[in-house]
Amino acid sequence: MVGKAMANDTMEKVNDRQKELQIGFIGNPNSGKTTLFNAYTGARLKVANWPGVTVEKKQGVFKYHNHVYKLVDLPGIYSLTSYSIEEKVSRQYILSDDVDLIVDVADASNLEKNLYLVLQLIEIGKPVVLALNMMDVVEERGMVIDLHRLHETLGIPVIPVSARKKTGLDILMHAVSHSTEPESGDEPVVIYSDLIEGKISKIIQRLVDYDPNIYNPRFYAIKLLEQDPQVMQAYPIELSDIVNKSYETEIINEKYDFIEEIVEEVLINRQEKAMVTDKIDSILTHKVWGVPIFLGIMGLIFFLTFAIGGGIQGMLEEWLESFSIWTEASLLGLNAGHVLTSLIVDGIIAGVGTIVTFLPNIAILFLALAFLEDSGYMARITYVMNGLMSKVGLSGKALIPMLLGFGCTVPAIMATRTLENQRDRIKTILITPFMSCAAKIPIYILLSGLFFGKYAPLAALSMYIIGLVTGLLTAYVVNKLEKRIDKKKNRRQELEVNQLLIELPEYKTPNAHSIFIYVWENVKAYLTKAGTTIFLASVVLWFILRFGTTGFVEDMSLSFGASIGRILVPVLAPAGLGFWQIGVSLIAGLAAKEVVVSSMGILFGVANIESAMGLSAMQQTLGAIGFGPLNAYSMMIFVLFYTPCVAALAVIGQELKSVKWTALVFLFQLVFAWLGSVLVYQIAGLFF
Amino acid sequence: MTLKDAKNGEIYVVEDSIISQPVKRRLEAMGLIEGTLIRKNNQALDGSIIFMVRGTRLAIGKELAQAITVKKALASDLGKGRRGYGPGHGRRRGPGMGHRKGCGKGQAMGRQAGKGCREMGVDNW
Amino acid sequence: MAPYIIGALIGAYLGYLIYRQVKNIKEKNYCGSCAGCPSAQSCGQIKEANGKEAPTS
Repeated sequence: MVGKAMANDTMEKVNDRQKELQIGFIGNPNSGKTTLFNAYTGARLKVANWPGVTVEKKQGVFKYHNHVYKLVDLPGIYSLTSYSIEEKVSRQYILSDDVDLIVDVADASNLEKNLYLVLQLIEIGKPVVLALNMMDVVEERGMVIDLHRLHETLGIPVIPVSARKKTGLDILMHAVSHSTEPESGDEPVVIYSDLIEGKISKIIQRLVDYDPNIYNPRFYAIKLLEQDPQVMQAYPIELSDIVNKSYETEIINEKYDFIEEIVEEVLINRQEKAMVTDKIDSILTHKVWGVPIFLGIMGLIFFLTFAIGGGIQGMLEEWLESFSIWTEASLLGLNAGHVLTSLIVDGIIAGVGTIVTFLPNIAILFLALAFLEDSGYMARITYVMNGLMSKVGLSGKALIPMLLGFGCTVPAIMATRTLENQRDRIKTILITPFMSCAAKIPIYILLSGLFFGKYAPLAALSMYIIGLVTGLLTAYVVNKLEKRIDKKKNRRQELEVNQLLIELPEYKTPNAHSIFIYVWENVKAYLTKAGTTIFLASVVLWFILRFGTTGFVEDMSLSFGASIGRILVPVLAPAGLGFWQIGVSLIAGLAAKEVVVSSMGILFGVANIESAMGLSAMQQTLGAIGFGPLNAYSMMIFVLFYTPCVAALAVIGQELKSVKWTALVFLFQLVFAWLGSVLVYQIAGLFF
Repeated sequence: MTLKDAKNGEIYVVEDSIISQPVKRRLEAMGLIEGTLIRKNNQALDGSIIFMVRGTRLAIGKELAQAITVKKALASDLGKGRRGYGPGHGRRRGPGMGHRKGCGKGQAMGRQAGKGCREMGVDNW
Repeated sequence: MAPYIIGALIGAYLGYLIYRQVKNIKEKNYCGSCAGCPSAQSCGQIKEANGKEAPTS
């Protein structure tokens, strides 16, 4: 027991270590584990209304009176039989020795389905506390759950909570602090039919013979009856006379029999409040209108990002320009040397400031994505678009990572963990970078604004369409190749594995707090990036563009940067990008896509790219060297396709677990970008 | 008939599913087992469907919908016990409970140490 | 005087940024360059976060 006063420091330290218990938050997908985790730890992990948001194990610390708990947030699972990668993380952790206590977070408004996992967890034999989440929803619907009876039937503490409204949190931790030992573990929670029980006791006998120290042999016996491959490996005992087939179906059936009985007893006044969701579904998932509605919503998102965001951005640009002029004047007033003035004005303000002005666009895009994710529509998109996706050999589920890719490629690639089929996963990882991430927005806005006048939003939107179509075509081609190889090697793919199978949550009014977290975290990250990576890149760019063999140069064409850029000119010329400035921009963009815009700011000066008059001046400058709308469009195509940023490459490497494949992805995107822009420039050149 | 051929808005009883093991296990864990009552909600042009099982909506692709066989639920299926069909309404009463040893339900549910099944049964039924 | 202070501040900040960048790369922690994405969460936003949790399969 904890809490005894210790005489000396060392003893206290030992005691402290004993007190640090690991508590795993587990439960069905979308039952609110992460919301609860955030409520305890003050973390701001992403929360949204679709199954599979959490794909990683995350830890945090929570202090309760004199206890220190290590809380662990896990991806949601339906059962201990794991199915996709992120579920294996949960299973492995829950079955490991690390976890001292399991908090099963269940959606109380859907007790029946959640109880299956509860029963499985209790069978493991570790202490389990059931957190009945979303009790506020239960009350709203006029449902009543007999908590006392539920506790009696399950034999574990049952605590009603609402993670969203932060009610019941203290009581839950109180229960946790008193439940570190399993409650009178002898009596099994589910007693199966005589046939199964007979087999279980025989297996237990053999397990104990095999390993006299085995803890809770009943659990392993059940798993062996289900022919769980991992448990069979851990306990390779001869059972062929007892287990002649997998009894998993029987065991599941009998668990559900028990669940039905529990539900019938503890759930009073169930209500069919779910009708609202059905009504919305009849429109949004309509046979005919479903697809146009989805495309309309996406169109609206990009319209808001470019048109509305653009307006606010214009204002920020003007401020930035005045700020730039004011700074220059002040620095001169302070007698700062022209190198320092140039560093601050032409380097930092031009490089970092330009990026910051695009914050409204970024915020609007993430706000829209937050609505998409938190309303419950996200999961529906997989159903609505499943037909089209299956034509290119992907499951509708692959659309979730692709849509997330419009925000940032890194979490999008992590989200592919929810795809059950390994091939589906690799294909999705390959095409997700084609979905223009938020970092490319400034480039599209800058270039389309410069050269396409009132058609600028259309030019920007076309990038998203081209990216999407190319992605789908790539998947289609890879799928065809795979099929051909399969045929040659006489392999048969099990078709159903990449079939769509996803739970659709109920629609809800997006939660202001989760949306705020979502948008704020992204805005904060964008600003942090501007202040760190882009700051550094801008200074480096400023240096190589302002210094040459002769020292500080006014004419940038004499700088080191120009010499580097010129190396690329012959390669980029067929794409209409044969200018040393563009070469420098594109190389710089490898660090982070925003840096392409920073480099333009440094190359052409804030005053030039930020004000209407400057714009026409810059157009003239660019026009004079032969850079026109076609060149600009070609550059947008190049940026759309070319290599994702370092972080995205790192995460691709982590997920593919192969350096060779990552290098291939890198080259593939680079070659693709070059071919794409050459094609566009050459073909369009015939007409214009 | 298969779930694909079923009518929208109607309630069915699951008969069987002929699917590869991992997918079958997953569906079973989600509560889709023989005898479960489900309601078909929606069908897309490509044959994907949305149906309701045990209070949640599932979306599945065409091949899966074709692999699940169902039959129309009879009035007797719906009226079992206190539970008519509705969101979250589960299976027909199977024979499962009958297998339990001793004094039936009470014992299966009682996990508290020291409380015999008889005692619990009297207290709570 | 002021220009020297400004110059020194910028220099110090740059030094810090380079130090951080090098440290991140040494630790194979590329999130340092990707604060721009929510994955930054997995890079120590939560104290004691086990960020580099490899996908288990």
